[in-house]
Amino acid sequence: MSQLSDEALFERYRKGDNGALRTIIERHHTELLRFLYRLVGEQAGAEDVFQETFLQVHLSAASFDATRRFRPWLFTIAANKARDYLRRKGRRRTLELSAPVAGSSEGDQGGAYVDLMEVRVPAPDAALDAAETNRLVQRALDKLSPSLREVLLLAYFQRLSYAQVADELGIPLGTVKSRLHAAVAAFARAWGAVSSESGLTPDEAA
Amino acid sequence: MSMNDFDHADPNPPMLSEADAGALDALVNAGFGAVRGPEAERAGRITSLLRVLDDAPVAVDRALVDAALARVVREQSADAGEAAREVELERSLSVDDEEALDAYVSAGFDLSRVPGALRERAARIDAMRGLVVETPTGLTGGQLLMERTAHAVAQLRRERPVEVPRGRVSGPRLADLIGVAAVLLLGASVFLPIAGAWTTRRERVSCAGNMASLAGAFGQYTQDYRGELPIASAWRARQAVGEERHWLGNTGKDPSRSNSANLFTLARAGYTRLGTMACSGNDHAVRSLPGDARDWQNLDQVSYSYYVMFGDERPDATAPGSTIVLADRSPVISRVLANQPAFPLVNSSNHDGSGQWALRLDGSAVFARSPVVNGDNIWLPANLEEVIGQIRREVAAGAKGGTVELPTRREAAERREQMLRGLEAPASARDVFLGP
Repeated sequence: MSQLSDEALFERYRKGDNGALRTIIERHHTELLRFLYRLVGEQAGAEDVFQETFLQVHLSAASFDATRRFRPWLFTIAANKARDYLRRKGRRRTLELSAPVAGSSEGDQGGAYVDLMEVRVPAPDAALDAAETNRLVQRALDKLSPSLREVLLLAYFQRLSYAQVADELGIPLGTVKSRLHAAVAAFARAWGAVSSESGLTPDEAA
Repeated sequence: MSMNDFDHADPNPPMLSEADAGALDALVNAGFGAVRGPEAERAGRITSLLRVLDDAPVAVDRALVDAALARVVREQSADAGEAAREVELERSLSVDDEEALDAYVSAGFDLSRVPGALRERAARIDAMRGLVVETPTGLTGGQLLMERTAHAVAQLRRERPVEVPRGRVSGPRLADLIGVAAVLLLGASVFLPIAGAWTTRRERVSCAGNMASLAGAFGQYTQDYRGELPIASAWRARQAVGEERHWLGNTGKDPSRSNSANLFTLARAGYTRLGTMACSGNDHAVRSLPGDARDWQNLDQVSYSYYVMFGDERPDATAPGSTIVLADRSPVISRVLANQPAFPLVNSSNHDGSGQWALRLDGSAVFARSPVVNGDNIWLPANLEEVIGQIRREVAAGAKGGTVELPTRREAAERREQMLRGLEAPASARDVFLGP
């Protein structure tokens, strides 16, 4: 069963094989939970949404288009459930537009643009505390509005093209592009702010 | 459309009345030109409705438009604050960084596939992605969560079993398609002369050179157009090479009415010469056309069949590299449109039926001895493959009542005309269907 594709497994599940969905849950557990954790910002909430996602997968099983890929559909359901969770919690993220980008002296182009070349990201082999890095990443993500965070994470985790994200979210392709541009800029700016506040030294950044 | 909408899907979506459906069919058959007879009045109303999309100055229901706009404004106001912040942010990435991000996305988030000039900036984006996706989160208790989730779903399933969709053919009923499939199956008994001997080495080598050149042309086009494959018109047109039709009452004519026009884009836009798309095995191939040409003049001139770009999903540069986007001309569509029996397992006629060159998205080309590649018949859309497969299984196993009643030739021709009208499209971005 572990050799079967997600689509084949789900078709088995639709026909009565409970074990097939169990395999799907195990297969996507790590990445989906991480995706949800990044989206909602806390483990308990991510776990609740994880469970709600698969309950919804069951409820929507009959309407799944077998010609489409299962994974983007799964993650889209998860993103929708996460959005519902955040609404119930009454969470509204505020965006700090004034946060400086680390390394920029007088702001860039009047403060209008982020220059990605000035973004400092820890090198993969940098000896940083994983827990601290995780905390900073989450703080940076929490600074984004929910819609920007969602499109950024869907794109990053799924590695979908603009057209695929547009299709999954049901929004125009141009909107996907502009949102992802904005999301990347916002995350870069937010990362610059939190890493600067935490005192990441230039030696620790790429 | 939110996935939550599935919980409240309308089981009875609105449908056209029979009279309106007939008028729409007549309008499509007339290429959205004048419709005569009893359906003329209804067809005229449909044309007026469709013209709204074309911004033509016609009388519309202003109250309806105003109500729709008012609703849009209300919904926009609800998120005005967030939208304002987003508008501000939309301008916060420089042009160079936007270009790098687009290239990175088009490359499937694979930094090694990003053009060199943009790679340094894309590397920053890649690094940030690594931060978000790969930084350990320290989450624990995974096994317990999986157990809990599986148990919850199993309990839900006991209360609300999955309503498995019944096996059905999308579109017309199976019985309506028997005529078409029977014609296609009967084609097996028609002697399609194959030259016997292999095509000349010179012709196959020449075509291989065309494939190599076209691989470069496709590659350059996708780079310039952010991963998109060549397309001239997304209008779901007939497989009518070179035909021109009045379009929604416009005074001009739209020559981009066939999938061949999509392929022709490579020559029209200067990515390749027309001669590169002329197979020496095609006696009617042309190497030059008037400068304002947007398509070949007729089907015989077309040497290569291109991925039918009229589906709801189209492949782009991020699709699997093994996706076939081009091949020697399909023998199926041309024969069906000529009211001739067509057998879907026949090879292209370009090389005397010995096989066809097939160009993959990764730029490689293969000479395929059969049109079935990786289980997918490249001459047919998936739904028709499924129908034919189903009928073959039923015929082999003994159909309902023990026999399959074949239609008369006239019935088969009528049904074929209904079914294969050049409006078919791939079922998905993974369904290879080449034409014309």
